[in-house]
Amino acid sequence: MPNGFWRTAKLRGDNRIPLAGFGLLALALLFLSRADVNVFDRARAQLSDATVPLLLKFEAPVDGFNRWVSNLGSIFTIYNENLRLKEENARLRQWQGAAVLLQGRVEHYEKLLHAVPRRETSSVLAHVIGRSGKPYLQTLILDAGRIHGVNAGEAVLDARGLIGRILVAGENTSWVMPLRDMNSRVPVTIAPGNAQAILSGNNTAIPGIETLDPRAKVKPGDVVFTSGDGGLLPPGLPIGTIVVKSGRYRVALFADASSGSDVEVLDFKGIPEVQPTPTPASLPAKALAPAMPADGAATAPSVPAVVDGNE
Amino acid sequence: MTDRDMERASVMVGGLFAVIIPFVCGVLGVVLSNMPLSFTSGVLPPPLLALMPVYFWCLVRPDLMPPWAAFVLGLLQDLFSGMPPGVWAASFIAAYAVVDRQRDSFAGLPGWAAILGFGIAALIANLCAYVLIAIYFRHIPSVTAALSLLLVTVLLYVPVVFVLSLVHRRLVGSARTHL
Repeated sequence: MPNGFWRTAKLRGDNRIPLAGFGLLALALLFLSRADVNVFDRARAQLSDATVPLLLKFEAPVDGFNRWVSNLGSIFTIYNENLRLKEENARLRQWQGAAVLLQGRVEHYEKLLHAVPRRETSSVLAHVIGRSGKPYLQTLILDAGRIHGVNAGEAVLDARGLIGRILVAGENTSWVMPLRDMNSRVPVTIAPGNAQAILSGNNTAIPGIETLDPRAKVKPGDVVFTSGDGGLLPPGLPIGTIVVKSGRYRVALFADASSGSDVEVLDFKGIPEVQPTPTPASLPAKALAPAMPADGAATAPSVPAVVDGNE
Repeated sequence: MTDRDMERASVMVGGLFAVIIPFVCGVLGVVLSNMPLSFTSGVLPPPLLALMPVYFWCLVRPDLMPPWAAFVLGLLQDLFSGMPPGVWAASFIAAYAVVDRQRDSFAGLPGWAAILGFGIAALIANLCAYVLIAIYFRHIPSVTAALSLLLVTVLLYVPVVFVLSLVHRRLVGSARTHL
């Protein structure tokens, strides 16, 4: 074989594995990792746990520098910004009054209807100690981990709304996958039309909407919440509002993952949807057999009772 | 111990030192580029600093940057960046293979054209990572994000190559190894 691609390592003296061998090894690792990524996740968690002191040392000056740079331009618009915020504050106070009134009304109706009480969700307050804006994976690092009760998959919120989900939980730190990350998929409800869709991250500030029913009536300004489908995230967490860009529905997020510093991690364990165990009588063959008259005329099988409360 | 033995020991230590430095530079590049801190508030992605020592020593002293070192650095990049294991390892190996095959052409590039040489290596690594990620996640990643990574990496190579040259001249020197 001539000198070049396949035998360069050997010609250099490293005759154990040729270059192509390493390429194949990398590809094998990649495709094996589809089956189980826990080994790498554990290593990442340990890595972030180990680098906490370093991150804490550097986080404050870097954050201060970024804030200083981003505030440079706002010095000239601060007066107008103040006026706008005062107006917005007055409007929000009106909405707060309306929300408190409606909340009381909902609780009253729930009591009247003997509704199943909502499950209490506990939460952990955490501080963002690192952010990485890599092109293929955007993450936030929190200073709370498994010993604080944080587990993979849990929802992360700031004061404005959902930021993302816990990707990896270490002992003392955890990685958050923000909603805008291209690997993020969250089932959502769009109000007021109650349309169901999937919020799909695309590495921009305005993630897209997928699997939306074409008959659904959605318009800019509609509010997007978590739907709770799949039981991973609690329903009703505010996410953002619908905007239209390039003829497609996108979501302008309430929470800003790039600036929020204190976040809440919700401990929510959805009730798993348990399929009802089929009894011999409910199986079609068994159900049909006793109902089959002697002359062979079939009667409709009885519909099995719905056992699952979620149905 | 005779003077000759001392000299031999000194040469061995120097050789070991020369072998380790390029790899340590790569590890340092992995750590620095994956620090979850951004001076641009996340507007620009961190550069692929680990690819720079791989390219540099693959050209000037390939005996100090063997394929296993490029593979391990790629794997470390995967581990630190949160990517599935193998994405950057395969990408680094792809870039390494091209540079290794065309070493004479790359090494002969004068002045600013040398930056273009690294640009080609970075493009190959990024393209490989882009395709692997698209296959792995079954989702086409943002082209803008991939291009910004490429651009930042190539631009940062200009100052970094001066540091690498300095390290090579002062620390690695002309030490010969038996790798």
